[in-house]
Amino acid sequence: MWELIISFPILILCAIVETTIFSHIQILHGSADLMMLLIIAWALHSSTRYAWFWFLVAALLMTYISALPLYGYFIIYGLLWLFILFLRKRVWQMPVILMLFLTIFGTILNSAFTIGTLYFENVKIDFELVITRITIPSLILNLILAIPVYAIMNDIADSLYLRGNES
Amino acid sequence: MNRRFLENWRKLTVFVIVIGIILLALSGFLTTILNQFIDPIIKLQTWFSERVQVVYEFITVPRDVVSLRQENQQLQDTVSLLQKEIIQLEQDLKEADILYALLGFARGRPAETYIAAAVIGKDPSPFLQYVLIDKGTDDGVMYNMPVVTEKGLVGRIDAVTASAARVQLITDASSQVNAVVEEADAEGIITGSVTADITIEMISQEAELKAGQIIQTSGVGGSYPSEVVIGQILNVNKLENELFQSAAIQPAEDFQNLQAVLVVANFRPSNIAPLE
Repeated sequence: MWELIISFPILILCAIVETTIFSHIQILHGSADLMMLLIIAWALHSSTRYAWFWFLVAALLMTYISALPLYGYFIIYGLLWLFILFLRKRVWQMPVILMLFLTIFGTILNSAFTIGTLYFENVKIDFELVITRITIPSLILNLILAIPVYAIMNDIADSLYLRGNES
Repeated sequence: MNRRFLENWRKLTVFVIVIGIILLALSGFLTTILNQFIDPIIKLQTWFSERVQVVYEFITVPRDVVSLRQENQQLQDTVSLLQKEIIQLEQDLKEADILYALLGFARGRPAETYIAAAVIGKDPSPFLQYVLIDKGTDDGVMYNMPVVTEKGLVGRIDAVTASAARVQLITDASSQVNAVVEEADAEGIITGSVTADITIEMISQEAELKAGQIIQTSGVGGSYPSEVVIGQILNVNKLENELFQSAAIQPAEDFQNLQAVLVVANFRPSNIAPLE
């Protein structure tokens, strides 16, 4: 139950931090997706049971903030969630490696979906420019942030479930 | 008697001379001569005083170090406090400058009414060029209203809630603005890109575009008010075998550091979608 309750303040805080700080910290034109890292890290913790709810709230918040059409974040985060479910059963003993792998996968998925959406909106896209100036820099920033975010979310999940077990 | 008279006379003479010298000294006639005497004395006094001061300091230093350290600490605290105040004042001044500039712009266009808003965030997707502002329908902001600053056109309202709104910048890839280059008497369309660069396209090959020419909104299409500055031409891309020429544009506004904007409240964009 606590997992559901704390999801709101943590994800809202994350959305605020992402739109005010992290969207301005750019390498070339790429920026980090803090929300994606946060929900991946939460989903990878062995004790969390309502990670799907975190994905849903995160997608809702991002859809509210971002102009990405077609409820893009529901699709991106939904696919990511399904992929995590698929992987957790197979490589559950390597969460840090999985975190890095899912960060790469999530960033590429996000870029591919956004490019696809823009393409269908008849926006001219120079793929080479997009990959070199947005996707790869975003990936670098996400990978830089992946480990600290994983550590923080792991600690939060640990303290939450330790408290739950004690009570 | 005679001796006594001589002695008195001598005394009187000395008295008169002394009084005379004093009067001469007081009236300034003896300044040069007196200086000759006084200067060495003052130099000696200075030399002596300096030595005495050194000795005094040598004796009293151990006691003063503590007080000096305390004083130094107090001064350092005061300096850091003042530095904080300076930073705060600089921030206030910066905000005031922005607001004054916006106010000046609004006064320059009395026909239009504006809603001032602060930029509170940026779209998290690096592919999209949108910003969030702190004014919504409660403040009179409506969908599609143009957004400007004192420097020029910013974009239009893309989505709005009661207390906030999302602004599509003119640098966004799906943004299109009808524009005019007055100096070249040419019209075109400003389009953004995923990398936030803007270009003017669909310009006739006959138009003579040059770097530095100012681009303004044309008002065609009814989406934006006319004669709002967009930017300057950076370089022209003209190929003989193409129907139109295009040009890269340096936007008038620095979209990376956008802090406050004005929503044009009394402009109602025309909906020409049924005609398209």
